[in-house]
Amino acid sequence: MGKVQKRLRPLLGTFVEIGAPAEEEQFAVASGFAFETILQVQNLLSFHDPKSQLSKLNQSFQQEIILDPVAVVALRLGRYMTQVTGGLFDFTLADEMVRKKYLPDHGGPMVAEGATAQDLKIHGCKVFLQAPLRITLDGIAKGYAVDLAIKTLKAYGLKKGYVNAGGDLRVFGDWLFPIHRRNLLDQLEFLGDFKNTSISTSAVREIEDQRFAGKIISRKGLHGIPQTGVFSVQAPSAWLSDALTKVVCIASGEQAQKLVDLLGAKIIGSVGTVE
Amino acid sequence: MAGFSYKHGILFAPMAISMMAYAADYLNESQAQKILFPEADEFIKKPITLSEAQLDEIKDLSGVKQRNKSPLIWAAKKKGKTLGLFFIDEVVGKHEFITYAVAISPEGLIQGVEIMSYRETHGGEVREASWRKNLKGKKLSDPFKLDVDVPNITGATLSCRNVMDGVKRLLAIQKVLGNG
Repeated sequence: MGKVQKRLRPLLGTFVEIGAPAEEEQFAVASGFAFETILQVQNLLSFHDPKSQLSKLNQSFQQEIILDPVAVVALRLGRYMTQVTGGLFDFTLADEMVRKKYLPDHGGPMVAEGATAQDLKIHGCKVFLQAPLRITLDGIAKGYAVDLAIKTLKAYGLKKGYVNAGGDLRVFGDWLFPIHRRNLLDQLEFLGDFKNTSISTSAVREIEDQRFAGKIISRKGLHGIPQTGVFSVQAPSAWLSDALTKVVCIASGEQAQKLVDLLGAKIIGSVGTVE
Repeated sequence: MAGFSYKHGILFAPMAISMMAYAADYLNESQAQKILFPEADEFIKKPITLSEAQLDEIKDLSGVKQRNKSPLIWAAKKKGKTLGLFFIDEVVGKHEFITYAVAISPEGLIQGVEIMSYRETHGGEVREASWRKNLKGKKLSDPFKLDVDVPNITGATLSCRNVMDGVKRLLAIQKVLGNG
């Protein structure tokens, strides 16, 4: 086991760091393929890219299309989270994001009145929109990409390591990993040492900060205005911690706690050591 | 070491630090070259001075102003044949200072982007717990570095737009200069 090697690349609209205590050569190969995995997720699921499979889906109303299994799994996870959270996490919100100009408009019908996540039908890799929907996986895709990258690192023989995609951080192996959190004042606070887990953080600010491009919105009138603060969730997978931070941002405390408990995750509020 | 007090065997840092810099070094020049052009057997540095007209053209093509008249560019070669251009560039944001490397193919396609070093400054205080962690095991007599390693941070997603704008600028430089 060598010293901790790390690499940083701009991907998924943010900086993705991969690190592991490993020999230089082995790490270069494993991290190279892990970055490729993340790039693949970006190419498949980017809402910004008019050629991505997600963009193809958003314009495919009433036509069955075949998607890559990696994209299909992400869609299943997005649909599941939308259902299980009762729309607190909502992967059909892209129409609102387009109207607010947070996301580009690649054409195609907007969401039909009464259309829901259930209108996305999935059979194997065949996908069908039975009502017009605008789907975005922005609230889950980074975490999902982190999970796949971790899988890749393991497949290339690494016994421990981490992937941090702009704050969606997952660590694996026999390693107590110190993690800090950036608060609203841009200060860093020590959260604790963590092992075999995933932590995601979202921040809701009163005033927009160009350095942090993420937007969390809810259907107007449905869930009210988000509260300001920094919200972190710890979960076994990064797709889950990523999606749940958005829920915790906009839900009431009790509602958020119930969902987080149900899904086997945990809200990280106070500072401490968690093993 | 003024400003630090030593009590009960633990080093305490003051709660408010006027400027705190985190730094992480990822790759040096030759490591970045090897990762971005693994097949190359030679890197030849190109001495370049951009003219005012070329700087204007780069701005028009990329929408981003090129400030440095002498960009750092190498031709990556394999048995004398050019595989592409290797750039080292910097972007400076409000809080970040980033050095990165980019590989561009002769057709003008990005082959890869690697961050070589990342520095981040914080105007505000760093919570004491964080400091204690970083300073654990250090003695007063140890040389104290203002730059500490970037810790593992979870937080709101940081945009990489500055770097992507930089990459666009380098693509424009490649177009203006050609591969010659």
